[in-house]
Amino acid sequence: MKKILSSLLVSAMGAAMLTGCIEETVPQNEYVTKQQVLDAPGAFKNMVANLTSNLTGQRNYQPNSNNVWDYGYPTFFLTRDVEGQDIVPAGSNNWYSTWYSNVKYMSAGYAVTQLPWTYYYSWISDCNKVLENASAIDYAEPEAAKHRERA
Amino acid sequence: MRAMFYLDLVRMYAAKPYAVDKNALTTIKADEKRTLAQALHNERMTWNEAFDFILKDLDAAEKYLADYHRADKYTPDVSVVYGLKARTYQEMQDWANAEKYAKMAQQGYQMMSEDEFLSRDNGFNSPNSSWMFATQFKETDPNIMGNDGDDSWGSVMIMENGFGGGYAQNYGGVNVIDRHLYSTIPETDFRRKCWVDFKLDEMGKEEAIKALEDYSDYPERVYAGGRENAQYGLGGLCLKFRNAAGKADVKYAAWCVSVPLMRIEEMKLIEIEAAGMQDEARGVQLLTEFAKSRDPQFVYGKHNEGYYNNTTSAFQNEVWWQRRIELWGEGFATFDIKRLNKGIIRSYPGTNHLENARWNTNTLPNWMVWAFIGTESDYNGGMTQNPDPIQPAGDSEPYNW
Repeated sequence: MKKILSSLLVSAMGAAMLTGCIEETVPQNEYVTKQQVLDAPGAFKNMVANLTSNLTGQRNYQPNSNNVWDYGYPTFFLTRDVEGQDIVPAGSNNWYSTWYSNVKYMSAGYAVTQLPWTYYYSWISDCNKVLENASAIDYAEPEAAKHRERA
Repeated sequence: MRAMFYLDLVRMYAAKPYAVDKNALTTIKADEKRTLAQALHNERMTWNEAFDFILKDLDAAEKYLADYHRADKYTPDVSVVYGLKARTYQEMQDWANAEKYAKMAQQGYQMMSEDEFLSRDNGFNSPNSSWMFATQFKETDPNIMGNDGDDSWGSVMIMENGFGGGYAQNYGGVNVIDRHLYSTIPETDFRRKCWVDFKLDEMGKEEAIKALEDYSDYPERVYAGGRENAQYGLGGLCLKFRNAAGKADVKYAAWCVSVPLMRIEEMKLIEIEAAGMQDEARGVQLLTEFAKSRDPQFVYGKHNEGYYNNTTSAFQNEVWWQRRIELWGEGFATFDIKRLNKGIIRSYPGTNHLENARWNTNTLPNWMVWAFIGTESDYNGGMTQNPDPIQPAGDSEPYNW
């Protein structure tokens, strides 16, 4: 059976999905519709699930490095909380001291400033991709909602 | 989810608190419509623009999640949307809407009991009736599988593991409570038991380990973590966050914990603050009810230190104090200091803050206005950068309370 590969799907899901393919349906051309993306087994569902499963534990900042603070959403609890007075990042080997006592490094040119930017805007980018693939751009009613109403 | 991320970002990057300047710049809007050309010339949103954007997202989420039933608390449902709206309206000081949505968010949840709060098995490591939204570390996560799981929340927050790992227990990186804040918690408030009493610093090893039995099933580990491994001491060590039940000795399942992202108690405190900002007597009544569930002998009026800004009412300071204790370690400290336009106090007689960081600032610390990374500000020609933080030159004179 003829198969087509969804470039849209690939761009949304990344290289890990390159082997994935979907059965061809109308239209018979090289493009896929947003609906086809939605209908691909589990594809859109995975994209949505990724929004929450990606919140922690993924080393999103530097996947191949051991950075104590590179574990996702809760790390920003600590980076923020130690900036004030309520939490003291104490001890001889505490990796949150930058946000506590070396605040000069929270400047435009330092990697520590890249950390929230990388995390938050990659999460936001993932949200944007979900909206695009749900045909919900600019608060348009998502395809899934339309189908639900028709059902 | 996008609204949650943006609500964090605008509070982190806002040049000034909303209460000071409603037109202060916050963060960059990067939505699904933004083009590359726009990205290269993209000014930051003002507070009001950001609130419009966040609320539009939340309105859509509220509409489409109305009938959605989630499988677990790791996925948001409409109650979380209500909670995010409550947070947003609180930041906007739109107290009527903050109260309305904070109350709506609470439906179906129950406040944590003393036993749940202080559970040595399940303390702040798994969802219960109070948790509205959570995230979870899993055994297959890169942070757990790599580097012995040491690069994880559990590693830096939990002191009881028995396999010689983790920053809080073994590698000398404990995160402890401010001594002054601890001293303001009455002995009758059960939340005080989340942190080790500073009087243990005056004890010898045997006596201290015996005293730590009041806090932990693993007093030797806590002792070693604070006094020997961290070279810190014992006062203020945190026992709020525990290893997953029965997993304290299991590599690296010990770190596979859940972390709360939203609890009903936060919603209660938003409701209380919002009610009190409209009608203080009603707020005081609600606050007293809340506080008595933590401290049966609670007396209103004892927790209203202003931290250099006495324009916030004593009532609002009282609510802030409850938030500081109830939500300690859950990521709200800077947001509240910034929202209330407070200074900070780390230098005072007997402080446990570290030398060269004993800074008192009588205005909002400049490092709570985060600078944008150069990779954004260098390429985005249309944006206004925040100034780099200026580090204090030395420790401050001790503040006398």
